[in-house]
Amino acid sequence: MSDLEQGKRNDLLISPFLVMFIIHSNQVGVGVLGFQRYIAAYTGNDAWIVVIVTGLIFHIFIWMMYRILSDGTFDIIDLHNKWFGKWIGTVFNLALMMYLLLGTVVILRTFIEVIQAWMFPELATWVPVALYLLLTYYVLAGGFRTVAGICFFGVIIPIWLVFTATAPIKFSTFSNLLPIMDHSLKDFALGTRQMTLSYVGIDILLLAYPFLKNPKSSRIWAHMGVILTTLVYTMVMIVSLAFYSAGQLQQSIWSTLIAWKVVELPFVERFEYIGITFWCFVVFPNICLTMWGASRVGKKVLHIKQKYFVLVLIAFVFTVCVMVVNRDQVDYLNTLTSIIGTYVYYFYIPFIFLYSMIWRRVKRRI
Amino acid sequence: MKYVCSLAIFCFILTGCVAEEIIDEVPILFIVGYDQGEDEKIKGTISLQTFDPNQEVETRAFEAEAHTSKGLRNQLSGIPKPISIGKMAVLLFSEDMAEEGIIDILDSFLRDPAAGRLIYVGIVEGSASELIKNEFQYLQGIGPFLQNLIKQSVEYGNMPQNNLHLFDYKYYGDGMDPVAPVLRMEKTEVKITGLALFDGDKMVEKLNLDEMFLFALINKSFSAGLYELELPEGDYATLQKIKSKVNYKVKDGNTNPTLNITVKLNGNIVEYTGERLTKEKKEEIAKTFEKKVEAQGIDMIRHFQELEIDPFSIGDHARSQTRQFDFNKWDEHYPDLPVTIDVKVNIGESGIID
Repeated sequence: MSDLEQGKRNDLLISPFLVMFIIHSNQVGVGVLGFQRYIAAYTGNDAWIVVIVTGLIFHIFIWMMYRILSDGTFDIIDLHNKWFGKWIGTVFNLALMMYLLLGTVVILRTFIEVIQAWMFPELATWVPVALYLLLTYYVLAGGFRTVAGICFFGVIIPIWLVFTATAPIKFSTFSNLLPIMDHSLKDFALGTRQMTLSYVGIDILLLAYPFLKNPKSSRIWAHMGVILTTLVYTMVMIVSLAFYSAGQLQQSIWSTLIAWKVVELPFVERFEYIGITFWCFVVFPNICLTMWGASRVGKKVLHIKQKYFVLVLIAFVFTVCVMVVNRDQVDYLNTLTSIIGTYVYYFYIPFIFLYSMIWRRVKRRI
Repeated sequence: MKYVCSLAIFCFILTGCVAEEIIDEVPILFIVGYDQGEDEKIKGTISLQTFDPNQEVETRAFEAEAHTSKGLRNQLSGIPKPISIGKMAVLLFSEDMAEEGIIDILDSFLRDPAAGRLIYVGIVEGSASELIKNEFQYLQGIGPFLQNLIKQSVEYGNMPQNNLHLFDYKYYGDGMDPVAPVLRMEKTEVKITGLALFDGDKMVEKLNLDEMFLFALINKSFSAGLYELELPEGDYATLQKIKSKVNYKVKDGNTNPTLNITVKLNGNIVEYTGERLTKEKKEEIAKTFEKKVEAQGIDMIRHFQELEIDPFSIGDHARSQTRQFDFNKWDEHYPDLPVTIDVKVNIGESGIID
């Protein structure tokens, strides 16, 4: 590669610290608005421990991913082709694309359901979907650096919302957290499996890796991203456990939003509306990142120009989102993603991790 | 040009997607009262306020009967629509309604994303409808007036914290039962007369103001308003800024539970009808107060045990202090749970004279 090409390439790369925002913004989505009751169903007052434990597990996944990607600047698409050959590699890559697209659909549709249930019951699904996807196209047309920028602002702009947690504390009973560690190991395991869905999203690293300046030194930032996510989730979980009684929490579909109902501000009576509006910033980077990832697969595997392939993906996501019409279907999509996500993280990533270790060792012998 | 065109197109196609609600035209609902109607229907009375920029605030009361709370809206044919319940402040229930259970109606507000959770739930001795129809006495409207009345008695008075969220909290939580303020209209005045105690969502008992004060002190750490204490010799002392620090200790929650409550009270004397407030007198006042809280507290808990209600959340305290807590066993033990209360009163200041 000549110096000129190298310089041009550098223009496409992002600073390592942005990995933190990419990881964090892709992990936090609509899940945090209502994940509490699913975890508390298994571990009750110990649910916050599950949140921390799952966060720790995801540090292991980060480590695994950096080991998988450690040599050269290949992304997972190249590695699939290299390790499994063209045919099986393509199957893997297409599966990855479908997984990313499913992620887009789930987050977009679930968030629109929130808007429909809370703010505008009469709003037709296609309107916000169209708006979001239009904006997504605009961002993707700017390339990965723009996507990373959106991730940065998607974390920075709504970060002040963490201070709203002080309002429910006024009505909280912190003895709800006692006695600590009062559940069986099996409950904790089931809770952790359930919690995985909320942490899913670091897989974008497998595709974003070649776009990082000094990719190896970025690992610390990836860990920081997961730590930030863990902190946010743990705070939300502890406040929710103290604010709701056990039975009440199981009743609440969007516990975080309902807790916002007790925020009192002089200029607005229902704070949820402000919260949901700001949540648009949280959701948007998710859509951009997953769509970007899916379009990368299209570019590299199907050899279609990213510009055009994004349009195909947008049309696909639009159609699927509009076809989902009620709560049960949204719930089904979430359950499906949860199951697939569990397999991706607990089987697929350890599998390619081991595979890459063995492959490298064999290669070295030869 | 391309961008300008697309912008113009979007300006047109993205408007009017949902029904608009203009704040100056939407009538705002602050209060709803529920009474028992005919044929198992509920009778709802609302007081609507319309804020017109040029005119004064307009308040009117309406009444209708239906089977569900939201169903009342259809029956309220004479009112301007759409009604906004985002600023709802107080829900009132008549006593006979509360004895039948109120969760079905509360469900309507818990389910609705537009409704808040800081709404006060109040019980009216007599008719809720009458109370609301008396609205023209209050300049700001009966809803905001009652909201302030209850809010102030929580913040500065002797009423324990309560609102829709806490009602729901205690209704769905195990080992606890909700409470709500009781209101009464006397001639032209609305008064708070005590605290209603619920078994689930059914009202089973009422405390008067004196008992409500004790309830608030023992219930959880609290800072109450004024309290007038009768001394053995017939003198009176008034205590102010009473702060309580409460600790519940449940032992052997699953097998053979016992409960000990320690209450530390701190208060200032602001009035005394005797001659001189000496050190001994102060100690006597403290002792009298201690004995009173202890004796009445025990009586109160005994009474709750007889009724099998748990407004002090004793079951929840037991759960938080027992590993692998079993609520079924607790429910068996609760009616004859041995309870002891230790009260320690500390008199702080006694004003600027002896």
